[in-house]
Amino acid sequence: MSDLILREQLLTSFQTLKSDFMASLDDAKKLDSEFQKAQKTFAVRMDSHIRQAQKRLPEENPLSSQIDGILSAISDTDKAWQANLASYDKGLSFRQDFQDSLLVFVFGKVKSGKSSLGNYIAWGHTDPSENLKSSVPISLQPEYFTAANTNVVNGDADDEAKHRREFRVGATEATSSIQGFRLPGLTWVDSPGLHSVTGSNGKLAQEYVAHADLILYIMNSAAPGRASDLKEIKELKSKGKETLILITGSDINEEDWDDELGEIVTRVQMKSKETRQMQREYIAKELEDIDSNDILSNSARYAQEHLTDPKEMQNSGMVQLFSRLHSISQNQGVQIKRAVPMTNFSNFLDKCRKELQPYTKLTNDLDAEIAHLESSVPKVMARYTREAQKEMYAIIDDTFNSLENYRDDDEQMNQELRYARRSWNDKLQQVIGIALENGLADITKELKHAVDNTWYSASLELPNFSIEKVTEQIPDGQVNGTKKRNSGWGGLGGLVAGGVAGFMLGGPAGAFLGSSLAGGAGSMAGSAFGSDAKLKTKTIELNVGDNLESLKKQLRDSYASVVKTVIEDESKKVLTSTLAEMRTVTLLVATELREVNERVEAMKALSLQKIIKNGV
Amino acid sequence: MALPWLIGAAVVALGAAAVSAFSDDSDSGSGGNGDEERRRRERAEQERKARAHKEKLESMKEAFVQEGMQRANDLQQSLEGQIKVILLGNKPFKAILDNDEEYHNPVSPTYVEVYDLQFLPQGTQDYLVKLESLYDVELEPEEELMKVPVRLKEIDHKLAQLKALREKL
Amino acid sequence: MTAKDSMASADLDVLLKQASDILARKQGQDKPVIAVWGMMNAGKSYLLNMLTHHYNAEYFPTKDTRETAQLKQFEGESYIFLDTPGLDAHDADDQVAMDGAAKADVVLFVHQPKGELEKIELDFLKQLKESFGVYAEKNIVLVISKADAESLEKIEQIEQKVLEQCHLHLGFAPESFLISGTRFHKGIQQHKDGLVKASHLQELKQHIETLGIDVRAVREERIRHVQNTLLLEISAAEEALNDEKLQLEDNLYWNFARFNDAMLSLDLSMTLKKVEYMNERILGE
Repeated sequence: MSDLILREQLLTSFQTLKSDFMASLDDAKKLDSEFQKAQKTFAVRMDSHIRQAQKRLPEENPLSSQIDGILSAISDTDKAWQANLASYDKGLSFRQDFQDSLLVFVFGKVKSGKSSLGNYIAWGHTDPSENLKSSVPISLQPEYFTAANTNVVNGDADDEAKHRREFRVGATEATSSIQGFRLPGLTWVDSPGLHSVTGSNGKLAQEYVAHADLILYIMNSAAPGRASDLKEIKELKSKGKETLILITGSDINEEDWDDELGEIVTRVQMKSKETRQMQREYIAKELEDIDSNDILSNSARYAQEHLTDPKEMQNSGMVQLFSRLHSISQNQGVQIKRAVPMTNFSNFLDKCRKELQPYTKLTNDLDAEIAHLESSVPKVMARYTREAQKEMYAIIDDTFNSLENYRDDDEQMNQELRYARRSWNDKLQQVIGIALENGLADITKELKHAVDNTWYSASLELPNFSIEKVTEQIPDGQVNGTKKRNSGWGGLGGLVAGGVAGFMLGGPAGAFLGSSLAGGAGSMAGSAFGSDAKLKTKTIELNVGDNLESLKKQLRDSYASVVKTVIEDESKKVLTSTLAEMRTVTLLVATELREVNERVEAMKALSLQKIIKNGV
Repeated sequence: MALPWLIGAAVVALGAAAVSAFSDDSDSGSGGNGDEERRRRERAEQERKARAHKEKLESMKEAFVQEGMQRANDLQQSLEGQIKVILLGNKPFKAILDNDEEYHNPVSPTYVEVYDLQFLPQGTQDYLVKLESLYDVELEPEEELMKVPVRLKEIDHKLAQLKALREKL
Repeated sequence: MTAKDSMASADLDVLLKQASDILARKQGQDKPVIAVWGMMNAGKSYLLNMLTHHYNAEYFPTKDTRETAQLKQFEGESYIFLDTPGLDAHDADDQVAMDGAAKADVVLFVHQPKGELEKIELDFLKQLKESFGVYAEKNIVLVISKADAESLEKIEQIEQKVLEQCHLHLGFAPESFLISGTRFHKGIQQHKDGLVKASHLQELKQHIETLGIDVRAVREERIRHVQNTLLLEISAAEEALNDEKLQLEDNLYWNFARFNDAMLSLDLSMTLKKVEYMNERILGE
């Protein structure tokens, strides 16, 4: 370091340190603000999606109550997840003294010159007068603090340093407590030796040591290298922290006779270079593994008398101390401290990412299950359709078998057919109802099962959250037979009638079954459910005789067709589309989660950038 | 998105018609004494009244929601230039008439907190929070608006400096 | 920020600087500051060189052109001497000049005897008088320089006129001296006491000393004056800022008025409907 570092420069570099620290904190807080905005957007949208979806569920749909339950379960899960996230401490602060500045921890015996040095750093003078203190601008005035008294004999009263705004310096006085001062970017903590500090102060001292960027051990030049000192230094070195040994008071009073004034004049002079060297070498030898750069001889007194003379400042040994302090303030350890809030926040983002995973899995699994169910509806209904068709065939076949007896009697045959038609329609209604109910029971049971499963296998770990309670809200499937017939579907009577009426068949069978309403052959849709969906029948005389076989076939086919179409249509309209609607919600939720994930990733990248940029 | 819920409703209507057709059938021709007739008529009357009452309540609820929806655009426009308002979904009005709790609780923190809008007059702040609790909305303050607290802070800072100066002199 | 705003904040910065200058001065140096003023080439720098014993080599540059653009300072044993740019040299220098005036404890106002005082000199003297307040009469000294350039009669006439002008415009006539710097210089260099005496420089020197400079009192007075001015400016600035603040708050109020009204109306309507609903519900039970 070729530039001479004087006290002013040192203080300036500490101030720069402080503003760097503040800037880093500011960066972290800005990032947090972005995070909060993303969080809010997510919360508002989730709330909206779920609530509006629940509103859209029609009351009469047999799946509505289950879907409503699922949506409520999603809502509860979401709220618990958000509450959990909100409960984390993001760590956007510096711990005062330990993390927010360059921490210098100073050890030394009573009367080692520790206090003079502290005052010199704080005020530029070893024993500052009130005048001097008030001449310092307020922003540069040190702020004093003390830890509680450590009960050393001749010690100072509580908080004395704070009141006097300096450390006690004087011939017979001693400082007994851990005390210190803060300047922007610097925290200077002063303590009697490690072994003079007991109890709670001992713990505090240990903490300071653990967080210190520099440990100074002060010994007086009058008695350097005492056994007790050396022992403590060895112990401190073992902590692995940057340590500097200072031999203070390396000055002497040089006396001279002034002829003119007729009296003795004294001048403060540094001890000879050789003397100082000798003292350092002695200590180095005693401590064995110490770097010679880590021992300095200095004199605060000499320094304060030669403030404006760079050469003499160098001589005073103060400049080397300053250089050391300056280079430490630029080093890695300090930069790591500076990055603390951003590092904490970055870790918080990691936690966030981790928490997102089970949540995302739940959503994706739920969506998959419902999609699967949606696609299986036709298959399920197909089975029941076949059963229903079989029943229709049976009843028609029976009728036609008994009709054999009336082959020769046209009138009688027609009458029988008319009676038969009524009972076929009754049966039709019945079998379709049963098929739909069975289908509904299967689907709802499967839905409950699948949905419960996704929650259980999602491995969400949230406080105050019980999967049982959440899934309880989702009603079980409808069990066939325990409820009134056709209870899952309203008004099947009219429906079936409409369905039958909608079929226009060619030939005598068609005429026999009755005319359709508006609409062409095979049309279902709107006309089937018009307000005039009542069966219109015509009484037509048929020359049935030879056409009996073909009539039977046509009737079989017609009824089978109606069965299939009505079941397909109804199940599509009621079951499939409800499930599809549910899926739109799960997909929306998945989208929101994806967006959140992306934002978090982006912020994480940004946080790492900032940490690296600041040189850690 | 349009959903085929209406068909379900039509099924119900048909079903109801079928049911009523049935009950009419079963009722006709039993010819009991006059008391039973009266009681039957009273019951029918009561049911009619109950139904009318229910329908009235339903329509009041519906009108309430309708008004909320109608005012949404108005509110959105009134904030134009100051705060961007995005209404979510197709039924963003949250409040329900039947609810005993006044308003749906806003998602915390409120937009006032998230965007540091505390420089606005308190009344407006309260209204913004109310807006949030009545509608599914996303709010975003415009750039022009956010210049104001910055300037206000500057002014306060300068005033403080001047005050300190004044005291020193 | 509007142009007005940025101008205002520049002014504010100037205010702040002035204030901190004053506060710094309150501690200030101990040695009295003697500042020399006057028009360009009035002979200020030459005079100063003589007063500060710079007989052989110049300390204060005396060339004919606009040399002294800064405030050049010399710290002697008992005083600090300050040279200033000419009053009429350049616009920007005037500010520099006024800054210097603020620092001075004694002002030597140098005037070439070409005629009476010009408007620019009088305006400056008036400002100076304000700044010195009660101490103006004692601590502003008139120096008629280059007294060797004209006959004594002429010079004394001019001196008379000038003192009248001062009386008229300042309300007092300052102590005045007829000085010849060159005469003094020659006398010193050639060891001719007579010349030295005739230059009257020693008398000026003595006068400076006998002013019994009660530096502190003067300074305090002048500081107080500047302080008051500053306080007034601070008040004005505060008022302007408060006005702006009110304006901004007002705007906020108006910009949200429509929204507030709409919300109020919605609120009332909702409350009304709720009351009707509740009534209807009770009726039906």
